[in-house]
Amino acid sequence: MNSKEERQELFSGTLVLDSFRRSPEEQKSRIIQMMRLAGVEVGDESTLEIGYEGADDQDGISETAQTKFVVYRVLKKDQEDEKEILREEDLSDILQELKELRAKLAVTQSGQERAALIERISERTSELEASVAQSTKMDEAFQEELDALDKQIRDLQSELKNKALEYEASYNRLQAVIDEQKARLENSGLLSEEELAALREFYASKKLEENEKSIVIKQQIEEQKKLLTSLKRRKNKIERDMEMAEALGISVAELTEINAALNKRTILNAIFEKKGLADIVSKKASERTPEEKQTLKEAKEEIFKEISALKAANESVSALDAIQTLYSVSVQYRAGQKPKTLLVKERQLNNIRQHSKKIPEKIINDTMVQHYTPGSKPEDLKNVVEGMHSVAVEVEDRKEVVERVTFFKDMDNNGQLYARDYTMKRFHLVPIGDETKIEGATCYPIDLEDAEYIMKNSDNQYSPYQMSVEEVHLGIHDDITREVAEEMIQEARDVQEQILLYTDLDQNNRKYVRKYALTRFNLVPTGEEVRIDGASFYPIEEEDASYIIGNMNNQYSPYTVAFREIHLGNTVQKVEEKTVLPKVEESRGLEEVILLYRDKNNGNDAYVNKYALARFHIVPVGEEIKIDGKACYHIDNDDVSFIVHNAENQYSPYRVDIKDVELQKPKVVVPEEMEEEEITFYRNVENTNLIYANAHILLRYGINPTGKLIRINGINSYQISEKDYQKICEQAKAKENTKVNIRYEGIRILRKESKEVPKQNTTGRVEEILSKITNSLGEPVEEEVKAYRPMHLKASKKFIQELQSGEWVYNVIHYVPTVGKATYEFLENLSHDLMNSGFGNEGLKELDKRMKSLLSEEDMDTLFKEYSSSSLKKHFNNPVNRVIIGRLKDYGMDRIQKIDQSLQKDYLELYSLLGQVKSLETKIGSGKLLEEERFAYHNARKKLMESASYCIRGIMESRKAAEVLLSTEIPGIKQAFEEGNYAFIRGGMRDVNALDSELKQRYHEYHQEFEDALGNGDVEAIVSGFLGSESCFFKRPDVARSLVGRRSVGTKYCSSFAEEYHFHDDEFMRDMFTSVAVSSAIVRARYHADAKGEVAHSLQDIMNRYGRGAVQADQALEEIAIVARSAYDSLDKTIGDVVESLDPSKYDRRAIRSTMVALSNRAEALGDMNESLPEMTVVSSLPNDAREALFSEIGSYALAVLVASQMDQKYYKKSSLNDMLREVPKVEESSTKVY
Amino acid sequence: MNRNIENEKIQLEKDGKMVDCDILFTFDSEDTMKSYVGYTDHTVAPNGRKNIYVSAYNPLNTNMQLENITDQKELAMIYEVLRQFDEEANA
Repeated sequence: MNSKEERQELFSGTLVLDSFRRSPEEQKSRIIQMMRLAGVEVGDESTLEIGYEGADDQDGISETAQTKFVVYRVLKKDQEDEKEILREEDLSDILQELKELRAKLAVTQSGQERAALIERISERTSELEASVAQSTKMDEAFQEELDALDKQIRDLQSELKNKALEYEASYNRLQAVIDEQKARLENSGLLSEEELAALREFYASKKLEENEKSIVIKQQIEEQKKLLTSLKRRKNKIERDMEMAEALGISVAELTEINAALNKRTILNAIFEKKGLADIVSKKASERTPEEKQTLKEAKEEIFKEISALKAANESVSALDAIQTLYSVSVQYRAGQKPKTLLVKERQLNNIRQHSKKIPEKIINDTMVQHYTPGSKPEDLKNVVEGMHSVAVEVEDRKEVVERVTFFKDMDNNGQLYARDYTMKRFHLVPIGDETKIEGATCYPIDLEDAEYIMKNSDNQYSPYQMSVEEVHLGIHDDITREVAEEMIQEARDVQEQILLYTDLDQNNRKYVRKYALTRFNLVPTGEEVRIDGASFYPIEEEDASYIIGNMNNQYSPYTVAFREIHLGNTVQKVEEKTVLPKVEESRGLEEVILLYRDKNNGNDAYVNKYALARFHIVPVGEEIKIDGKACYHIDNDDVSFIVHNAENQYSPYRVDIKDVELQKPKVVVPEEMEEEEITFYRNVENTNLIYANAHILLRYGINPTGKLIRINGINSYQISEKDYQKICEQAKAKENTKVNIRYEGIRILRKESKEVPKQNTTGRVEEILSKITNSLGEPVEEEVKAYRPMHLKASKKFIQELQSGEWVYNVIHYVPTVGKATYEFLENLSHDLMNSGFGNEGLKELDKRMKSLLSEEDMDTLFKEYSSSSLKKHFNNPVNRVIIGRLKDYGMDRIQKIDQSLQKDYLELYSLLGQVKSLETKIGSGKLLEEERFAYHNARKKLMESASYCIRGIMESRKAAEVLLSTEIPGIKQAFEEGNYAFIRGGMRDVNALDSELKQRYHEYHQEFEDALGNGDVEAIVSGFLGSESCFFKRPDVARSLVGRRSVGTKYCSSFAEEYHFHDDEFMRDMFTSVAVSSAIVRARYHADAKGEVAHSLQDIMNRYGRGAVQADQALEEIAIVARSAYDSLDKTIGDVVESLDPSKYDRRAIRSTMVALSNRAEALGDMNESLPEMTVVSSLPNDAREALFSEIGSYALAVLVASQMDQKYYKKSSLNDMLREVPKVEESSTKVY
Repeated sequence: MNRNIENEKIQLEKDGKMVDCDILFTFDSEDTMKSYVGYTDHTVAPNGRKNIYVSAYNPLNTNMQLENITDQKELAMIYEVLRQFDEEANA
């Protein structure tokens, strides 16, 4: 092989010999330094040669003062002389020649001839090897890359499978945590609220931890999927390029380069013109004849080969350089590069041109070399693959395209898309059904998502193509037996699950899903099976479809939903009627079924087996009985409701089957309230070892209180020992047929318990208070008093020393108090001092001022009691006393006023509560109720009665406090009371002796019942006892007697109560009671949360104000509408806040918002127990905080809207203001569709 | 009265109990024909001051029953005495 030198001049200059002779190396260094100073790139110094002019020797050494020099860059290149361009045909020529040479050698005897032959064989063999090496040298790099990609893809696929297993394991671990929590709860027995909260928090954090791990795994899976897709694409491209390059006999790198160069349309057209094809090029593509297109195609192929041939002959030639050399066309140079002048021999050019005319058959007709069937022309392929940039053969009216991808849309089969075999391979698609022939071509059905992907990426940089879709009619062909294989899709997509949801546009957008989806989501089909796309589908409810859509991105088992629109015509079966409670039906393949037995003989009492007791941690309220040979237990209605409503929970869904039975022994209907018991223990938050219980609890369990008495929530309570506490708990647990609920509350004990202050300290305390206000008031003014003369002064040394020390300041007490006489005499003297001191009236004013500013409520209370009980008040002539008594009278009247207001509030509330109770009782008694409604009303009534009992306790305390105040002999109080308007206190002042004997006796009976009930906490008896005793004093004794006789707590009680205190008792009031009570009951039952206090209080306030005549009906309606609007605003804001707070990578915010919007706009469904609310399952899937906030707001909104709409419905015509309610805007959807 | 009052005690009835108090000073007054005694139980009032009690008694009465001082002039005299004691102590 010869070496060729290229010398490039870099730098020239003059060397001044200004010192001693240098060595050649030193001289070279100096010159290199000069080059650097001049900004010339030195590069590899070993390639620099320096030539000197005027030097005496070739080292540049000269005796003259100056020497000129030139620096050259010398590049040595190995070059093959006359390297032949070897293509496949050349290779076959070489092989043929070698074969002939060897044959000739075998028969040649002449040594000279043999030597020549051997030399020629050797030469041709070397050329052959070099060509192969050359052509494959660059491709090895791509092959390596391809191999590396293959390995990466395999590794990634393996990794994805492992991740999927890991994900599943994480889910199983989460499930294990949930099971563990259930087991702990089951085995822990009675837990306090704090313990329960701690347990829940512990497991919540464990669940959260596991959930976060699963989220991370899922994210990793997604990322790896994307990477896998990218790697596959890259691999596909390299494979295609390698095939093409192999066919052309060039390297892949060269192929890529030539592609890039010929992509420039101007360059390509210019070359065409050079080849004499200007006429064709100047025409529009659509105007070219097929022959002209073929001509251009062949010309392009020829150009491709010519360029590649030239590049093969000149390694350093770029494609653009080759183009310029071959065709002398203007090219755009890449920045930084200069065109090179190439020396190409004429013979080489001719060779190129000659060989480029021989275009392999397969290049023209089939780009997928491995799929080419020798001897036959592929019938489906009419295009040329990317890289060739050939003109496609025109088919019908298609435009000239680089590459065309065609989909066939089968209009007879719901628009199913098909792609050719070529397209399947080109995009590595997985068919979702069997092959079929379309226009003679083998085609396969493809997934919509794949089709969409292909359509979206037609303009990609590497291999653009043009999309087209042709409609075909393949008919309903039964030979297509393909299943819509979610398993296949899943396998193709590795880990993602897809749910197909079909919408029948002919049947009011009815939704259909596969059987798989039914099982997956525990859905009940609403009709018969239909065949769609050759597969079985089932119709489902709209709300189930919403549920599927809304839960796509759930944390545990996300999936995607693929939507299809279909036209089934009238072939759909009738929809089955939907029942509220699931009936016993054949198994749908669900794992868990909870059987609920309903006893028709006994008011539909519910029974479950032991499994259900353990599963739901239920305490039975009855003994074991046999049903269907199995041990079953009676459970209460709350537990039934819980079981029924939580069947579709996320963690452990189940199905509830209700079976009606007729038990032999009819049970005595016992009111539910008597089978439940509640015990509240109070712990001192400052010392949790101190525990208290209400007096009636202690009485019930036979505990003698030995600890301190305190009042908690107005109820007498005692501190109990740990032993007594345990005793109560054990007895409560052991109770049969009674469900005992033990609650714990924290309390803070106030330091001062005013009623327990020992009397003997009062006097000292009184003195202290009086001292506070009288300090320094009585000190005389020196100059105004003539002093007596002291004599014989003596002082103890200690006293003198103390005076000297200055340590003390002294109080001079010239009146020493004694028991009994102290305060009075003190006061007398003080008064005397005061009057004589010269302060006089100013001092009294100051005293009055100090009483207002310096004395606390407690001080005033102490003084008040002292003055009430002692003879102090009698000394009214004492000016100081007059001031004090005056202030105490004001204090007393102020308290009386507050008590009266408190009584009014309690009476109003009691009246309202009783009205609501009455309305619920009417509803319950109507008989036609759903189970859920009955439970809801019972529970609501119970809560109302409890509230009523607290009102009554408050009333009794207020009455006692008023009695105490009015019994004082502090002058002026009684008179002020008589003259004032204290209707509620007055109304409660019952003179039993004024009753006739019959009423008196009844009163005592009721009063005793009431007192007993207060002691044992019997809510019903508290209310009935109180109302009964009150009724004895109603204005119309005959009414009172009749009520007493019937012992009813009904409307008349309420009416008389209202009449007694001048409250409104009319139709509007009663309707409000009904609306608020029923709506509150429904809200509590549906959303398991009470409406927010603001809404409930607002409505109660409106009722109260109407009740006492502060507002009329019109204004009440207006205010109710305002409450509804305010509740709507609050809900809308909460929805926005909650959605914003959600992590978009974990939750589909738009879907959630859309769901909440839909719920908000279904106000009429909120209060209808018949209406299901699938949107609530979306709420249930949210984080705890968000879920609680939404439940509360929805409940509030529901209550407000229900009451407003019900009152509006009846009284609308009477009010022109109710348009405000109708104007409450619907919550707006976002402009972007959710799906 | 010419008593040595050093370490003399006097009993004071307080809250029903008899409390020993140290006598601090005594003086007489010809104007009132009474003697006066100042004493303390060393208690401190809520205002941070030490309590000194001052009572009058009839020196001619062998019981020495203490009397409260209610007259302003007597009070003024007591304050004068205390002032003198204070001046002497800090002179």
